[in-house]
Amino acid sequence: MAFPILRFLGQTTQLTGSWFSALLFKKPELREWINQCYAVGVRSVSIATITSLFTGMVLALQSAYALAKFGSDMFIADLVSLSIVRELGPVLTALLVGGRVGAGITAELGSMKITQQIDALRAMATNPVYKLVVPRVVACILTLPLLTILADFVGIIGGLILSSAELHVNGYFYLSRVLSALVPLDFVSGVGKTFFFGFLIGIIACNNGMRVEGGADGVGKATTQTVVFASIAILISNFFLTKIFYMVFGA
Amino acid sequence: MTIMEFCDVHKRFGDNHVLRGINFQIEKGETVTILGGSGSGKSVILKSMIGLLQPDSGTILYKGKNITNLKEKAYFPIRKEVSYLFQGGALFDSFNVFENLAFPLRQHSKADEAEIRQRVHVSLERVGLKEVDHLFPPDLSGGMMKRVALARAIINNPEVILYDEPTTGLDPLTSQTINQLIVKMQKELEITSIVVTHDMSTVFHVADKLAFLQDGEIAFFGSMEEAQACPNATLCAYLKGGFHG
Repeated sequence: MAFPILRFLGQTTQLTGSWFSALLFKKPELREWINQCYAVGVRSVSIATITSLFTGMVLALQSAYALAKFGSDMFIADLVSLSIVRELGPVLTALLVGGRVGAGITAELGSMKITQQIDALRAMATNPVYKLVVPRVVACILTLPLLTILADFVGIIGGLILSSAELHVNGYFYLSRVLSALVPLDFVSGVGKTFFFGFLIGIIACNNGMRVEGGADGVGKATTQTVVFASIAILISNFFLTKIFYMVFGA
Repeated sequence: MTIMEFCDVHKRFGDNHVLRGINFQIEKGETVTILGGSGSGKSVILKSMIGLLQPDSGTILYKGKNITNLKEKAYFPIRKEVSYLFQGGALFDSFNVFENLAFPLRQHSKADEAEIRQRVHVSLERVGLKEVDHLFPPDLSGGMMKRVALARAIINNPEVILYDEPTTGLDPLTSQTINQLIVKMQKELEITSIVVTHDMSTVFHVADKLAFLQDGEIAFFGSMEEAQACPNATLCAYLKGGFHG
């Protein structure tokens, strides 16, 4: 069990080195970067929106019942907005995008590997890391924070809708509580983590795709592995990034 | 002039010792077919010629220069001179035919869009295809796919083309068309061709020389006339099968 994980870590580290080298020392192919940002970011807008809308609503509903016991239901907006901006927005968006985009990238690159398209790139004196990995990882890094900001906003609106419709909380009061509860550091903490999450999703997905062996079976296994490894990597790194954030900013 | 030379090349995959001391020389302008059974290591030899696979030991020389176990980037100049036609074509699924052919030009030449368009059309005409620019690989038949891949392989005017099973999976008539194209490329463009195959019609149609791979070694290397003198029993069986089949 330990050996495959060590091998995976070694391969991913090696690919990260090649990715950095290609990113820093080669001219960016902006057209391909934009295409990938569209595929990764724009096409994930609906999934991020729906997820965060209902997460915000459920959070408001659950916290209303819990806070009512202590006569603190006026703090619904505080709880919803802080939970979403600091943790739920970034992590849920990363997990969902990791599943959707990560699986897609691995399946695409895996299919290219088994049909020798990656060998064809090499045979045409082209670096596959530069051509395939750099644009995809960059797209994940750039678009995940934007999706998270959208998810934060929609999640807070979800809480507002539920609070107004079900709990008869005044909309103006809700929004004023949100604005007083949140400080810029909350956004920095939440959105800042997503740059790392985006990198992890992209590099894990590309690594698994570029190393597919066998046929369709191999692509299926690699795709599953990407979703599992990306999810675990997001959850583990989330803990350490949060810890580091508290150490640095003390809040 | 010797263009490619293998000296005692070995390659293993785990316990499978695929190449057990390969030796041969290929001269400029000739067409050499490498014949052997499935899994005998023919494609391994071909891939080793441009560094897609690295031998475990031995030496590979390209134009007299040692190209064994170079770094990936050091193979790039060789790969610009040596084109590789993959067994399944290896066309890029996300590109249409035009973009597939334009790709090597965009990577390695300073041609403007008008020149790229013109060279793509010349290349497609050479392989007998017209008005397929807009089609995507899944829309192409097996034969068309091989021809588009061949058009892509010749678009940068290579000195050598490596053909990996160019007729596998094709019907006899389409195979014949591909064989004729290989001969045409060699005659018109004076390209050195190295053809890996187990299709005897390809061997008889295109080969100046034949390398017969058996048990990880080159059991025979020589002209087609020498081969037909049956110097090796297994090769003889292949050749006779080819004559009758």
